[in-house]
Amino acid sequence: MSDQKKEAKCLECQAEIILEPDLQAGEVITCPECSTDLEVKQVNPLKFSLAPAVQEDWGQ
Amino acid sequence: MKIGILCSKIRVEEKLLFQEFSKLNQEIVQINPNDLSLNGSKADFGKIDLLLNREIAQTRAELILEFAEKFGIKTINSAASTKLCNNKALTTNVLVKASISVPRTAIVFSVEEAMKIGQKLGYPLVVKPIWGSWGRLLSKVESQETLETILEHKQALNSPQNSIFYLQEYIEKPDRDIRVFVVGGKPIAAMYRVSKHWLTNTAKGAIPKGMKLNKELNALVEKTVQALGVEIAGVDIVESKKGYLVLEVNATPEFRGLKEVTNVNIAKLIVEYVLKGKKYVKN
Repeated sequence: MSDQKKEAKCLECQAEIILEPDLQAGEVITCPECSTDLEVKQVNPLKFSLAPAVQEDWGQ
Repeated sequence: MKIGILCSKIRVEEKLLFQEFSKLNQEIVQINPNDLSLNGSKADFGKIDLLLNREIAQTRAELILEFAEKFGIKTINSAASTKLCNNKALTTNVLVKASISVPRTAIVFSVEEAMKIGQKLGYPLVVKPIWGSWGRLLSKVESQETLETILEHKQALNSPQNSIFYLQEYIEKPDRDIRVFVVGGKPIAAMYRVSKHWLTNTAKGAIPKGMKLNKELNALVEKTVQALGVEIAGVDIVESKKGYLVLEVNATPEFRGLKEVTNVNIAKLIVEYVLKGKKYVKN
């Protein structure tokens, strides 16, 4: 696994987002500029989608 | 031995668990419900021996755990105990039967009956959804009129779940409640969740504060998780004038808040427990 930080662009506002090197598919990251939640679909190559809204039965 | 972790979202907790498994060179595989196709074969789960549930969506997690158990895969927590914890009505029923102190509660199925119960419980009272978490959709109700309005609104949502009413006495408490984390049926760490708001969930902005477990709490928590059959859990407790009362039990507990105020390595203890449990054979 590379220990280099990765860069990506927010799907909503195109702001540059710096990502930790240990990023995993399934993580949800928040754009620091527009606060949109993005779900990591794939790490290599990086692919994102807008994270789904919280569902009624989500919880701990 | 192959261990599966059921999760579609990788939160802080799942990352920590992956890291702890990796430190012990334990092979793990993420079972993402979004990629699953259950066709009635053990191969659906990719030859795992044990499935640790960390799925955020409770309904599908219950179903997947049941499927896994049918093929002899050990599950933590089990489908049955997860179901009991996910449903507040069932949780309360089990705890009352086990003589564990809980706030006075009634589950009713009509507005008319709810109004009678409202008078018996007195005001304020709390209306909770049977399912759900993070303190969402809870209402502190101050009067009979407000109760009627809230229940009518719930009914208007036109979903069967929202037409089952869970009514509970409101407990006067200090500006905090208690979360006790359990691994292997034993309390391992606890915190206060402090807030001026009547809801003291960390998801609602309550601040975690470290606390020490005591004999009374330990005994109450052990009895609670034993009654529900959960091995890993977060038990929420309130300090009332009558003593500790159990509010609810979470079967896939988060621990990011607790991690900040305890020296206990929660992820490590979970992983060690899971590895011990992998040879467990269900009767």
